[in-house]
Amino acid sequence: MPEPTKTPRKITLEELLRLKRHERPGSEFWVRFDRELNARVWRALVEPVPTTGWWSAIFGRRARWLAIGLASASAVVFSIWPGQPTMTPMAAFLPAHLAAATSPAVSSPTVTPEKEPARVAMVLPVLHETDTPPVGARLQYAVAAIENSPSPANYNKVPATVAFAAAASHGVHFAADTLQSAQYTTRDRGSAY
Amino acid sequence: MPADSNPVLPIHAESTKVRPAVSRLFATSKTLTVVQPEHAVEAGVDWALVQRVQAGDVPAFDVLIQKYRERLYAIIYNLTANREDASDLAQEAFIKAFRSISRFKGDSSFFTWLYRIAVNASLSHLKRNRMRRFFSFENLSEEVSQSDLVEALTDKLQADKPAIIKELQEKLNEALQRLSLRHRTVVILYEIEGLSHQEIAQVMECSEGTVRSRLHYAKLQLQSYLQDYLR
Repeated sequence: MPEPTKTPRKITLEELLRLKRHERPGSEFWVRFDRELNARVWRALVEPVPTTGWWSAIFGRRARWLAIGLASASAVVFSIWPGQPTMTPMAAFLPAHLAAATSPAVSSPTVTPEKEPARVAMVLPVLHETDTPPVGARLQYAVAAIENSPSPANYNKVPATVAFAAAASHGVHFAADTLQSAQYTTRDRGSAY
Repeated sequence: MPADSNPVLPIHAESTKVRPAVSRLFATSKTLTVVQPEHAVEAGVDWALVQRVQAGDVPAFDVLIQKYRERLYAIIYNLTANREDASDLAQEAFIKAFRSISRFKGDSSFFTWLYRIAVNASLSHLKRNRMRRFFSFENLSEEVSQSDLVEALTDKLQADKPAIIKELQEKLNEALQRLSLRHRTVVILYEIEGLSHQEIAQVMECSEGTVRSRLHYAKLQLQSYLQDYLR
């Protein structure tokens, strides 16, 4: 007796496309990804915010020349009218009491390095503890971000974040002392903003 | 999340719940949202984390990265068909999100906001590098070779499994790359990532009707490119 013919299974487009859900990298990929991204996040924290904005969308390629023209005009104006911006660009990212800690007034060359840890110690106790990642790892990323930054970086921002709150009472001073021992003073790096 | 379910996009945990009958009468994709409980919880968790990041808690951003990195990478990888570019673009998308998170007000869910950044970054990259395209694919996981779909294809095409899987992966990616960027994006978000039409509309900043018509057109194109596997 002949075997009944098997009806071929219908394959749908949706099934084929769902195969792509199985194209996934392995765990070693994510180890490298996390490491690279962490470093980039900390670099983003210490470096100035890139200045592309709505004017790029409107003026397109001319935006660059427009920006240069405006910047030149601003430089002329500010050279005549001395004044300092009161907030760093990244201060918008931080609440008011942290923004004050990272203002150019703190970065003034007249502030001696030995006063910096005291300021950090004053700011950090009001912040909440956070448990991941540990202070050591955060510090490593923060120091690397400062060291690898192509533009002057404001290291004051790094200790002033919640990220450096630590369960240990000496954690704050450890962070500030470590950065200081590597000579990341405002005088060395210059005022960032 | 299955693509054919109708998970309405939550705004954040404080969204007002509206009776479905009323929402169908008055709903538009921008003005009224019905929140399903599980999405409300997820959106609430994300919103709490976003607020911590906005307050200066950088490690809270780590939590968001861990939660969304695989999905974000998958979208970008499927758009670009290049794992190195996808890795770089995924990181770039997270950095853009990090830099602009202070401006995020919770008008949409965090993940659609993040996906929008990722899709826009990918599309910009693809437009800039239109003439220089190199494909590099991820390996398909082992479980694919055990699936009944591959068994069926092996029977249909009378070839051995490894060859079928390799060829299928190449043809699928080739077919997707032949679509325009917008059509490819819609197919990836709907069929592969399982977003709803409304979520895709929010990500791509268009109407649901546009999403549906792009999806319909894209599927017709793909069916013609892949007809050897579908007959």
